[in-house]
Amino acid sequence: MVKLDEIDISIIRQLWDGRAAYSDVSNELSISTKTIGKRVKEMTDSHAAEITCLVDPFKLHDHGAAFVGFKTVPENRKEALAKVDKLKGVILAAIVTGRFDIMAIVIFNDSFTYENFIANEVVKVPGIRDVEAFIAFGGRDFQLRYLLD
Amino acid sequence: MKTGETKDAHIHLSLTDLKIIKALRNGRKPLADVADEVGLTLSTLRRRVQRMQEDNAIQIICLVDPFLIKGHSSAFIGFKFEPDKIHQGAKQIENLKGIVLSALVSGSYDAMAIAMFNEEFTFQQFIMDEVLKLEGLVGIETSLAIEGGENYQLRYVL
Repeated sequence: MVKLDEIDISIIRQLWDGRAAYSDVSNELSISTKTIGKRVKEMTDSHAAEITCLVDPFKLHDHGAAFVGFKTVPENRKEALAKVDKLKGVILAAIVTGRFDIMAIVIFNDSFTYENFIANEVVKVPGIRDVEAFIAFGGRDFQLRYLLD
Repeated sequence: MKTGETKDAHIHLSLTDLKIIKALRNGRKPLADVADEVGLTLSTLRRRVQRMQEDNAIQIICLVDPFLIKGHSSAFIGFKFEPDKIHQGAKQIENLKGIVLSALVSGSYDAMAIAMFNEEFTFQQFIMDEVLKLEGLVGIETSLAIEGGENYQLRYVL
């Protein structure tokens, strides 16, 4: 697993505008464009970083999103995370401390509803004891990757 | 940003906009290629992308997996407010240092967020210097992320 260094972080910061020209990033950081291109490629190839377009689901017709907390049987947490991560609608997921074992953010729409997510997707994950959804009503900084078909 | 908020809340993206968003899964794809894929002229596409960005409907950005950066961590945070302070509280959360994303939610919390910390801005500082600023806060619950899935990549906000 790669670890990112200070230079990688400085590049990521400059790419707050993901389409910034590498020549501008290069001037800003005094690093060659070649190095920037190489670093970005390494980071994105290894899934350490991704340059992508996020969207506010509340600006799309008939879309919604939720934070979803899962409780799992203890010995199943890692396996459950790997499965949850691949469920349709899941934008991101992580094993967490506290009253849930896994937290995820899920997006849905009129052809893939929250009910579909529970009935057709969550059942694929063995060892889930409980699911609690916090349906989102939107926020100014609530932008997500769009992962539905 | 402040004045546009109420107006922006009602902007809905079209199916063409959604096609553009999907085509920009790779955020650095040349716009000429995106234009071909969605069947728009380059200038129309450019205008649409720019408009969506200005409306805060989309953001093209480099996300990062915080587990791969030394000294960094992240957490899901649930907030509970006094009933008449919920909306105001949720707005304030957006402006706290360390917040990656946040939203008003239904359920046992009133708002939820993902926050990011590092050695210079620790979880303790987040609580003491940021969260305790929130007016009408009744309680918070933190779920510290200890292992991320493949898609656990966040905006780098520190």
